[in-house]
Amino acid sequence: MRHYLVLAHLILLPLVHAGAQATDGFFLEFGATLESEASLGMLSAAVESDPLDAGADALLTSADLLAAGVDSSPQTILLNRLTLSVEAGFRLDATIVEALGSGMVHHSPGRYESPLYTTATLGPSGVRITRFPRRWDDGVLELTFGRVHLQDPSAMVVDQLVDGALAMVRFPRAFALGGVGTTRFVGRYFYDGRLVPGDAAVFASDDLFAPERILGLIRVEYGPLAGQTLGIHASFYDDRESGVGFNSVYPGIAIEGPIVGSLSHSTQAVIQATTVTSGVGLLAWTTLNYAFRPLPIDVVLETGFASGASGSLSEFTAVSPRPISPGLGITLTDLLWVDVGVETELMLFGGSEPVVPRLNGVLLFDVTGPDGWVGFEATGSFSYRILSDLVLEGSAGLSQSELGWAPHFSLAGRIEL
Amino acid sequence: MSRFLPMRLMSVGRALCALLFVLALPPLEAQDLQVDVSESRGTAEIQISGGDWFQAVTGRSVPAGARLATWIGARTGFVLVESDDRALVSIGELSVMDLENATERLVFRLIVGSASVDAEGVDLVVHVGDHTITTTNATFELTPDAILVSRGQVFLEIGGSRTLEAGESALLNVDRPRPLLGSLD
Repeated sequence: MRHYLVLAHLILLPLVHAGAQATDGFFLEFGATLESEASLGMLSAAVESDPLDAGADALLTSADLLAAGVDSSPQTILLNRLTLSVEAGFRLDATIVEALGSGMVHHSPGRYESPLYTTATLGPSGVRITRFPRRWDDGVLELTFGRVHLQDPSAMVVDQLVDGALAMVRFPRAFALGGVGTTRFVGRYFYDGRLVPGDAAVFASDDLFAPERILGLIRVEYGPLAGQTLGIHASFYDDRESGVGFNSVYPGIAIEGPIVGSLSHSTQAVIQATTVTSGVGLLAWTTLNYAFRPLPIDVVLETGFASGASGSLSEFTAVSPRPISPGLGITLTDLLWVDVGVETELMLFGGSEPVVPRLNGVLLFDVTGPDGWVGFEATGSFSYRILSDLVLEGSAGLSQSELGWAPHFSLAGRIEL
Repeated sequence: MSRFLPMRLMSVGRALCALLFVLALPPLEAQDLQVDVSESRGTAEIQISGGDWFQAVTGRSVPAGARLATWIGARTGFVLVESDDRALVSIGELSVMDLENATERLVFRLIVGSASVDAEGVDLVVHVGDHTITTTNATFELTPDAILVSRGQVFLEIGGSRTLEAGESALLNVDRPRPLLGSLD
């Protein structure tokens, strides 16, 4: 890993120093991020395209893996990802017009037989228009055409790049977003989230790109209202094969704010419904955060529940391009989880930036009755910003769930320029 | 030995005594303003020196470094005891604020949540992230991302200095239309 990080510094620093010029309204900015991650853990069922040789487009849930007898086989993977971006823009009065370009290289040596899995996406990624407020109580308006990022408030359900359009407006007490785009030309490595199996199946292809689906997202937020910030959002998936338009919808609510003293909360719920299959799925969770001062200790308690009325709607499958811890990485179906985390900051090695260690314990309860099971997961992790642009992150742990015992480990380095 | 030596030694001794006297004087320091709770409504608590939380009862002194927390519908008022006109700062709604300094001005920092602030005849400074809000007479609502002034006048430092009158509001972060909840990369 050190090899990659040093190499990146040598290559990228001259690029950055050559950029970031701005004269007479014109500006040019470069950005670059290099990530290198070595992991041991369970691959997300929907992403590991075909671990059981079930054929292309196979959707493999945790239940499939369990039935196939590969439940306790942690996988190792090395992921390298380089993202380059360039913004050329012109500012006129209160408006900025930018042309955006980006390049992404995804490389996983030794993981796949075909070198085509070292994927690269290059080229212009869009045009962005930002209008700043003329008066202080005006809003900030931003329009983007091209490759845009759609994300719900928690990034729990939708965290997806699409090619389309995005409009955002922000006032002192309100925020609104509307975006729509297609997944067709987005490599299947550039997404995260948690979907019901029918929607997650889009990403189970052996193709470099995901099959065509149209994703829409709206968000409206307001606050403070009695000290709390309120938000509603909904994401829509269009299944082109079914020919019924936006057949799958994920509406959700989010409320967050302080409770008393140093205790604050974030509470969210997402419902999934479809016009193709009857029934709804529910994913709800609340997070309490207590800042224990003057010691730099934060205590986090998260309680969540996932359930459904029928069939596949009761499952929320994690979709991620990297191995994930088996605890909450498994398909959430009729499951109650309690996650207790303690985080602190330590000044080590004489550095100016703290090391942030965190301990997490997760209890899982299957609530389906006599066939239910109880699981747990214990994880230790850390984050350390060695330099202003260099971050190291790592985690290690052990879990026991319906899939059996499984260790997980991850070490990642990231350079942000 | 010179006959003048004893006189010289006396002169040097006097100079040393004067120097020791000057060094022994306490350094000139700005005196801390004494801040007392003048009004407490609802659940309003104070944490002093990182210890236990106390109810913000009327008359309790609030030293610099104290943390103040108010619940929905709560409001806590503070007075400067030495001030002739008994200047008043009132903080309410869901907020956690630190009283960072109380020497020449009252300096607060918004830690979490939103706050409703009412300043009456007092030099008040409120830090929100990297921004600084200064006023002597004003009522305003404050969140980590925005300020809404309903009375008086505040001076806002966002890069340069701006003035906000009653009825005006401002975003504190305008580079991008950032969501109120969560984040967008």
